[in-house]
Amino acid sequence: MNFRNLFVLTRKEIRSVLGDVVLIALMVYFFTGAVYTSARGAATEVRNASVAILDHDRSELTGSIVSAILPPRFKTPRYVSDADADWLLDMAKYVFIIDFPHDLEKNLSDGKNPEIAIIVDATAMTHASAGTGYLTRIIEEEIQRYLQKIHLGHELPSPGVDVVIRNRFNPNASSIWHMGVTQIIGNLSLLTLILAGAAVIRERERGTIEHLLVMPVSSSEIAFSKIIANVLVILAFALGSLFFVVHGALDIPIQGSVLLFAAGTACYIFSFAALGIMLATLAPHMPQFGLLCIPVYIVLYLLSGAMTPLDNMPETLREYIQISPTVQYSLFTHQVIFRNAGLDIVGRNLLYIIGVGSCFIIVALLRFRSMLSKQG
Amino acid sequence: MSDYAVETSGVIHRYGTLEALRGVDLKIRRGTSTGIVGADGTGKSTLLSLIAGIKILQQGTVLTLDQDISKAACRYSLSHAVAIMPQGLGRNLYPTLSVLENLEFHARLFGLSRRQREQRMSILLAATSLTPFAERAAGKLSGGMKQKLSLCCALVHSPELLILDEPTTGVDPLSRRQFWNLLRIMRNEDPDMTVVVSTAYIDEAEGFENTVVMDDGRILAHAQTSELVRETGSRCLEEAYLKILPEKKRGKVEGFVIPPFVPEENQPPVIEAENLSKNFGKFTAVDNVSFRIARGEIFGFLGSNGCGKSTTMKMLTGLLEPSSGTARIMGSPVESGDISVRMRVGYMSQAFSLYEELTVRANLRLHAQLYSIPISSQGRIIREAMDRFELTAVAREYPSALSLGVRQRLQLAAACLHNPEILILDEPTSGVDPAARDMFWDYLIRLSREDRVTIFVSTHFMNEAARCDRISLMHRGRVLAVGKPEDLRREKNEDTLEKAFISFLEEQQDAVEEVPEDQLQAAGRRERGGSDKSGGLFYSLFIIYTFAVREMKELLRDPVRIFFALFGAVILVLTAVHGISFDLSTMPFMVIDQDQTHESRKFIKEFAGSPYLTLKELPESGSTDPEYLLSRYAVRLVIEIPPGFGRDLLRHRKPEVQFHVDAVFPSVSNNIVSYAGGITEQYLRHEMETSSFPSVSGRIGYSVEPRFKYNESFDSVYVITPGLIMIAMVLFPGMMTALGVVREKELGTISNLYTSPARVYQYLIGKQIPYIIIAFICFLQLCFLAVFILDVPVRGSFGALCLGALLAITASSSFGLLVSCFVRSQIAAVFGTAVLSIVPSINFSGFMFPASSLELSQQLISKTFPGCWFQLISLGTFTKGLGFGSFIHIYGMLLLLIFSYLALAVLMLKKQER
Repeated sequence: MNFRNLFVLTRKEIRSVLGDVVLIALMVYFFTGAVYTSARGAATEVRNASVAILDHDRSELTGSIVSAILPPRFKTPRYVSDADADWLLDMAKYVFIIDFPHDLEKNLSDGKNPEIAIIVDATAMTHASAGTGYLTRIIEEEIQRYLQKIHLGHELPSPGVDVVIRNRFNPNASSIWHMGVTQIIGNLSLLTLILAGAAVIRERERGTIEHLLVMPVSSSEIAFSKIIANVLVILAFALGSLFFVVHGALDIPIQGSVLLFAAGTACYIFSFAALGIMLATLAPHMPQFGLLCIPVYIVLYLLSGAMTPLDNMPETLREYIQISPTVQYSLFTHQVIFRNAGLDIVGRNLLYIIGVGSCFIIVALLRFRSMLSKQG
Repeated sequence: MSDYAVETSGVIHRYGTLEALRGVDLKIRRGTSTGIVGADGTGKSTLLSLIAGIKILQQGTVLTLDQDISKAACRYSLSHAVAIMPQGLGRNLYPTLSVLENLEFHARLFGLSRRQREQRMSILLAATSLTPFAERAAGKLSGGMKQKLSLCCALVHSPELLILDEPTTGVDPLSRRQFWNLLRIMRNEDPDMTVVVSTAYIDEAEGFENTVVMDDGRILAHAQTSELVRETGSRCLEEAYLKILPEKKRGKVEGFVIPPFVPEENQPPVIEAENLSKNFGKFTAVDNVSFRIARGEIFGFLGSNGCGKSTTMKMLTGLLEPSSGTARIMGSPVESGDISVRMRVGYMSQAFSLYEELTVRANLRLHAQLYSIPISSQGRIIREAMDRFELTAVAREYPSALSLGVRQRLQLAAACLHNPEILILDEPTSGVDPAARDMFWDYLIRLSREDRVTIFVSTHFMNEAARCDRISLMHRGRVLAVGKPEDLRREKNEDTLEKAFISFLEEQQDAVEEVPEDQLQAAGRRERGGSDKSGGLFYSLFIIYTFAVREMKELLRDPVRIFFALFGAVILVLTAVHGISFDLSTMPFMVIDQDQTHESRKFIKEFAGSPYLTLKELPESGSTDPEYLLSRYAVRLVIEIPPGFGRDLLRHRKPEVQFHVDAVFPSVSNNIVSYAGGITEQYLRHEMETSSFPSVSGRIGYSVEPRFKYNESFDSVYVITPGLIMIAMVLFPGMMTALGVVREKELGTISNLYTSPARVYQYLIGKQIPYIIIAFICFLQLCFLAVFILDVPVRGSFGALCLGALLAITASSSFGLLVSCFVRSQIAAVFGTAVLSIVPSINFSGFMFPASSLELSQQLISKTFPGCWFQLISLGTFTKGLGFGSFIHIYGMLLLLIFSYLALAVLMLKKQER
């Protein structure tokens, strides 16, 4: 491989990416606005959960329970009427409706075992189970406090263990931290796949690759120049996003070595760009490439363990999916950014990423010329 | 009605800083024919586009058939009366559609009735002798046939004004002659028709009544052709043209002096082809071709379009592998891909193949660098090349802003830049003006004679062929004759080489295309009233239908695209449904037991016994720092039991146990926290039952009862499946339509929208219909998959779900079109649609996270995308058991979205080019 050619071609690639103003604008939005909004918006823990109250009792007790349901975990509850309750759940306006029965307070002090119902939209999987737990605890605490008050409470002795929770790597177990980093993984994957693949398709559709191949450059130089250009451009965007959006705007501390993260990200972009180029040699034009890309990207991303943990996958699928560079990269990212892991721990992931990427690039190079002769 | 078909005054047009027209005043009488000639980039095409009303007028006035083209209403009524055939081979044709289908598409756009259509089409096809090829895909036609088909398409609605922009550029002499004959006869039959033609062949312009000579954005002369020749005292128009031009642009008026070629003795041939053949499937493009070219020879390649010239050249450059036979360049076989051989060859392909995104100078610099020209001399060589090919003025321009001829000059400059020993040039001069052509040849001859550069060139110009040392005539993949031009002419006893060429071809029976005179006459007969149907709802629907049918045909001929459109979503749903799960699973944990008593071991056992947790042994050695354990051993929880745990517990001193939770995934850590609390409680209860703890009274009488609605079993498949169907139906249609408009812009077929009377909204709606159909079929498949394979029943109304899906699909395909109207490249379209729609449809739609817990701004964003609305319908019908009644307002919102997207798209997509 001639390194001067590689340099010249790489510079040309970078210039042509940076030349498309709309594309650059989209990329900037993608790594700033899109990361910020989706990190702030999507909560995997119970946050901002919406609660409605059906209060048939209207007592001091129910009032104190309602005022104990507080942000940030819950939105301020709203009172609703019986008639609306079903519709509100159907239209997903609320996830929880607490139903205080008639004469709750009176029955409670009379010892008549009143029942408070929490109606839960069980399709809101991320909130339903944990949120019900929190609400139950709040209600129980308020009732205990109430009962103690009316019985002029004497505290009951109980044995106990003081459960101290230490959330490691993410002290408040904030999903903003998690989603901020996850978004970068997803966004840079999509961008790499499309940019690298489209760079090949564009050369082919405009006929420029024909010209390139009669010049004294080899097809590996062409392919690698596209990969290097993408690594440089996208790495710059990803690191910028990490510093200014994830670290700056979202206030997420970066635990591990930035240098290690940058190196690993470069490996990953290489690997995924190689996949993009391989896909591009399989698809003759942009419409087909677009349709090929999207399922590949979404499947790899959803199964990457970036969004939901790999632990939740069925055993066999979890084993097979280890091949995916996205899985290895999201393991790597979590280890480095949050857990401050060193090369001794993540080295294996990097080797995987590079190995798979090399396979992609070999297939792509083998297909490069045959793709041309099919054209004629 | 004035006497003039075209009246322009003071027309000025700029492309950025480049001034294409500098005040053009032109009047063309009705019923006349006018040829416009001039050098490349003098504004011929710009002027013609402005007259046709397909380019936005910047300054001045243009009246075409008495209509002011700056007014939209006038342009609309004009579109029925004007036809324009754009520059470039078959730019207004759809390559995958057949000849008949292309023609029918154009006929329908102009609202011809079925009877009129069939009559008109059969006449036109017969007149152009395309009838035998009616079923052939337009992309597989030769260049000449493409141009004839383009002409048919332009003539299909019997226009009053016919505008042809370089219709014969790149077309072989025989086809060219047939083309002009056809036009002449049609004009005879329909004398009212006004014809305006621009051409690079001056001799062709001689056949027109009037001639306009343009140079540098101005009109130099406009007169009757015969008068022009007489006034300048010339023998022919070509001579007159050169005399009118400013002196330095005349090229070689006095003709060429070519020193005779003397081959070197005992030298091996530089280019050698031996029994070369190339088959594409059953089609033989090149059939057993052999020739040898000596050092310094100029070898010409002639032949009709599609005869295999380009294929042969591509085999010589190594771009294509021969099916059989060998090609040698300087003694070494081509296949070896030897870089050192490539350094010595320069190649110029027929189609423009330089980078559109690089400026003229940057393109040349790239070549200089790749051919390893020393950095010190790069600047000088590029400057010289730009001087020689007159590119200095446009050095900072991008190729897309340049005219065909200037682009060709750039390509030739690039091919010659590194002083190659062999030049392989595929139609280097097509579309180039005569003066520039002379300049090309002057340069080529110098290269050949002085530097002994071997030149292998293909051309359609006979005067160029005559300058070659030897020429080879090709037809249908075979070489008909090889020899010196003069010898070949004498062999046929003709007075010009062109006639000899045609008579060689005519010997081949299949090349002769006899067209009965009466058919030609019929073709010319005008039948007005083709556009009766214009206006009115029916016509409007008809146009939408026309666009839809065309798009559908194109889609159906692309099996790969159909496959992904239909099954991409199925693959997506099947994998993702297995991959994403909110179901709880077992988490590995470790314990650091600093107490090591009976109590602490019982405590650990309680945790190890939980179905949600699996105990992992603490490593024998190494750090016991909890963070290290969490990251090194991928456990999710480390429990740290303090010394004295057992003692403190028994004494009611509440020992403090630390639970170190890996909180990278907050959803997981939340679960672990609640397990930790629960299991500790359970442990304490067990302790109380079995030991001497004082008993505690049970709970005081009340209960809190959760009632889980819709999904009592908490099985995530009932939530994920409808959600994934939503994602598929929101993403795929958008991705498919996103390329719709921008692709037609890149390929040039968008000109059909500009020239036809179709409205933008008709075009957009028609274009999306096929994708809506495909996506809906895909949706039905997904429902089948959900119900029968994943066992997720539709508990509510299936009809309500289908209606919702239809509206959501329409909304997202409209969104794709909106993006397509907005972006400039196909990449930006694919990427933009993905970027803009993935986040709202995955994160904000209520699929992963309840929409009700989003912040207000995010809720507003999500409401402008179809995802969050269709999520309510999909989840509502599948899992919540709802019906039509619940969704009335959602249907309304989706309709509003569809309308807004399309309205914006219509505003973005102008019916004219810039």
